[in-house]
Amino acid sequence: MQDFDGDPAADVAALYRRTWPRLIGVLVSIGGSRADAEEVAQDAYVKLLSRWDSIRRYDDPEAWVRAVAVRTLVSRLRRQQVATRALAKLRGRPTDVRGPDGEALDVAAALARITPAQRAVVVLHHVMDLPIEQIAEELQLPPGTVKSRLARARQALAPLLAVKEVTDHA
Amino acid sequence: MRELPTEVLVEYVDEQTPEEAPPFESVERAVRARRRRRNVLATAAAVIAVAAAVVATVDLPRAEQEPAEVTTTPTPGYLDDGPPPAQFKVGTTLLVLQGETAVSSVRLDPHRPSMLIVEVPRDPYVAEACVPTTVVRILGQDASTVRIAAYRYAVGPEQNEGRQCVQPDESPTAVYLDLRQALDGRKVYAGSTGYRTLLN
Repeated sequence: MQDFDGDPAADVAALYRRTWPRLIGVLVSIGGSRADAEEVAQDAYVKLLSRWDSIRRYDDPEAWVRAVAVRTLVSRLRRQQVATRALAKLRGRPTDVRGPDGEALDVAAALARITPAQRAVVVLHHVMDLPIEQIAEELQLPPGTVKSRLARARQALAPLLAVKEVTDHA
Repeated sequence: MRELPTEVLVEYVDEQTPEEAPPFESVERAVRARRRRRNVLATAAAVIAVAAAVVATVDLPRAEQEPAEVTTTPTPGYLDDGPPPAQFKVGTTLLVLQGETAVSSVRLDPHRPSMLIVEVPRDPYVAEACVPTTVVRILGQDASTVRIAAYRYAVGPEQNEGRQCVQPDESPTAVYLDLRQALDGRKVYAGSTGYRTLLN
């Protein structure tokens, strides 16, 4: 549990300044525009400020904001994806997903090949170093679902990103 | 097991990460705006609730008030329980009580054991209006008797319907009177007083 000095606005402002940039990086990597990411993040901090009295007692308030923002963004992207597919069907044109450009490592294009939910677990696990159990808790999913999403994401990304074969000694 | 090149992903996320956060005031402004919206909604809900309560309170005494003396009925034949009203309306036509009139005959409807057909002679000296002006009332009934009486009404002043009908009917007025229980051989007294028996 972290120490806060008792002024809710000052506490949240400090947390905001410290955590906002990385949260935006995570959200933009999961998908959507920068504007989408900022809107979702701001909404999460607004909720945090309104509920600070109870959330300040949590071990990791940053995890709470990230969980709210990621869940919101994933569900928003899922809705957008459904709408885009429906529109493509109506127009009779398949949705265009750009692949990696030659030898250049286009991470964005590779990530675009997997679902927003899979992107979320990949970024949280491989970039934010969160264990499966914590991701499951933050995304409100069973750990088995997180594992299967992670496995599918790795399988899809493997041919697109430079991967190396490692032996699993576990 | 294949492992993703984490450093590539971290580098990509770093590229998407801004240098610093925008001013915190934007979050505070959003919180204030949200509170304002919530307050406006709460105020609107309160106003609606108060308005509904006022309407309900105003309506309550109306429902408890005695019915107005002027009543509206589709057919005078249905005005059949208790003393006659001083006046009533048929549609927009006001009818005013003139007084009791004689009943010439009473018979039981052959198909309905609770329905009396009461005949009342027309007044030869008064032009009939184009609306029913004869009312028959059940003044009382018990296990052995039924007391009924007929009343004459006139169209109130300055009513268009008070005009004389083009072809006034000469035959007695027949009024159907539902006793709401079978006559079952009970005596029928006609008139508000006396024991003039017209049936059984």
